[in-house]
Amino acid sequence: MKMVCLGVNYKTAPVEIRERFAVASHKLQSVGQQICSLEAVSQCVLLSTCNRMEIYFWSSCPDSASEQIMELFLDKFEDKCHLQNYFNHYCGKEALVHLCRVLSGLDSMVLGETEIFGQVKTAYQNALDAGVTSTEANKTFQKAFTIGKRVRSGSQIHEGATSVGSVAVELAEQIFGNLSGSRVLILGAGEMSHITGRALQARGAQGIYVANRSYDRAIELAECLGGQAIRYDGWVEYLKDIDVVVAATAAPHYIITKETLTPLREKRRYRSLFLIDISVPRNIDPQVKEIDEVYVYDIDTLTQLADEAKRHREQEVVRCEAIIQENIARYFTDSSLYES
Amino acid sequence: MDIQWLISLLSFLFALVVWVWWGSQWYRCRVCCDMRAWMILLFVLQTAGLVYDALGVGACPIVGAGRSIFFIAWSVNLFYLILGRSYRLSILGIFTLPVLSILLGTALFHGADELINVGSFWSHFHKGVMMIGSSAVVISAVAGAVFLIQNALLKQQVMSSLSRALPPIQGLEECMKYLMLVSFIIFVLGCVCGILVDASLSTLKAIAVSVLMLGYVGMLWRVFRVGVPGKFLAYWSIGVLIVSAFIFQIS
Repeated sequence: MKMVCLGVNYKTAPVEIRERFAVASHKLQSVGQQICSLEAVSQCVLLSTCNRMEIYFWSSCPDSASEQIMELFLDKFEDKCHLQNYFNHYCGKEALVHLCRVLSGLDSMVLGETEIFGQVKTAYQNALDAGVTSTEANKTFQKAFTIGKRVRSGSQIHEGATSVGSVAVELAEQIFGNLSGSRVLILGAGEMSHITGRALQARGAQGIYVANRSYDRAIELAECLGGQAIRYDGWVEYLKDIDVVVAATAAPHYIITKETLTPLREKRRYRSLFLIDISVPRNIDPQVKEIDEVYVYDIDTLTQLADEAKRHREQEVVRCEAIIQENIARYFTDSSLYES
Repeated sequence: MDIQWLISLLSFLFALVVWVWWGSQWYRCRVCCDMRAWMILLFVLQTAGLVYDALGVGACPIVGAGRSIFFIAWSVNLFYLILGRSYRLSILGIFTLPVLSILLGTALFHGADELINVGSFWSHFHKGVMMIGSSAVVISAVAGAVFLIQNALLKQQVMSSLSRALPPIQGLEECMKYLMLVSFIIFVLGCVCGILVDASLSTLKAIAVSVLMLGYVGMLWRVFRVGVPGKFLAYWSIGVLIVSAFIFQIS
């Protein structure tokens, strides 16, 4: 019985191809049963996310099983031969290593991301509930989950935010801790405001105020973020109660200066204030960082921190690969689980 | 071998080993939860030492430099354990541990003095209360030092495993404010007990204590009525530790 991984992912296929093979979550069990009903397939786990659709299956005749599965998925398409080229195929230990890499976030679009672990767990649970797994699949996945956890705890692969929005959120958490209860003022209603506001909202920021020269656009963004639109000429009044300011307007000059904030310090009771300046030219005078309780980060710094985190994660890949190999040797002493 | 000395040695070695061991792994997020477990174990060891000594001497074991410092180390740990839960600052333990190691090492160095004159009840009570208050000041100073590190990292726009592992700025500020209030209340209680002690107070000590208490009143008014920047609060916390250590030395 050999373990095989067959599927498409973001590396081998663009989104317009991947979406043709995506399996909706409510259909995972039925499709899994369909795959398992094929003659050459004895067990399977079907994983379908936005970046991959992969089938992990066990078979005594892996080549035949792969053909049958491909036939099952490609049958409804006219351009079968073309689509076949997008599939990747791993067999035996290679398939096991690939599974461990996927679980560890090493194969993800955002290196080291943690969401995939939960997605694989859900896929495995669906397969278990559908009754399409047996000894080999159960033991392999249980051990693979352990290896995935060891990679995360034994390395820093998941550390550091790799996008501007998530860097901003991480910094906000270093200042305020839990963001629930934090009040955010967003100046400007463009794409970056949306991204950063969304990232803060996802981490619990509840009091979100949006100010923009065009009030309609402020309302639009505020509704999107579950916040409140305010008039642009009155946003300064809100500063005394705000914790985080996201400045992304098209103003050609500074709209927040030391002179703006100094009179507010006592009204704010010297509470910490986090200013995120993602505009070009900058909206926030860099001199405001001289105020003790004010922390200001511009787009260049945020991008630099995100890039540093990406580089750091890339450096961790070698350590993670070594942990995977070491733990496969440790946990999979019986290689019949993936190849015999 | 004296059992009290043995417990002191074990406590010191325990704190030192855990500090060095966890110091190398502070970047792991699991440190937060596990650190409290180790501090609880250390607390149990310290309490055993105090109880044993108290039973042996028939009084609260705070006579002599060695015993006093051991008692302070115990109450520092007690405050850390109470505080960690309230403010989710368990990682502060990694910074409190070096302080505990130094205190326990110093206590070990001094050893347990022979008890010649235990003193009156109020004298004993006064000393015990002031030591507990001092422990709150120690934790506050630790929080202050950690605040200054985290603040510097944020101001310099450095993002590292250290900055991620340290408690958030706001949490540290709340911790310092809370401990300032708690230590003030305890010190007031200690001062009242001190007045009831049937012994004269040196002029220098009286002046130093008065200045400290007035400073406290002023600072508390400022913190809870007007507000102060966190950096100022951190410097205050560290300053109070230095001043109270100085007062502790004055006879």
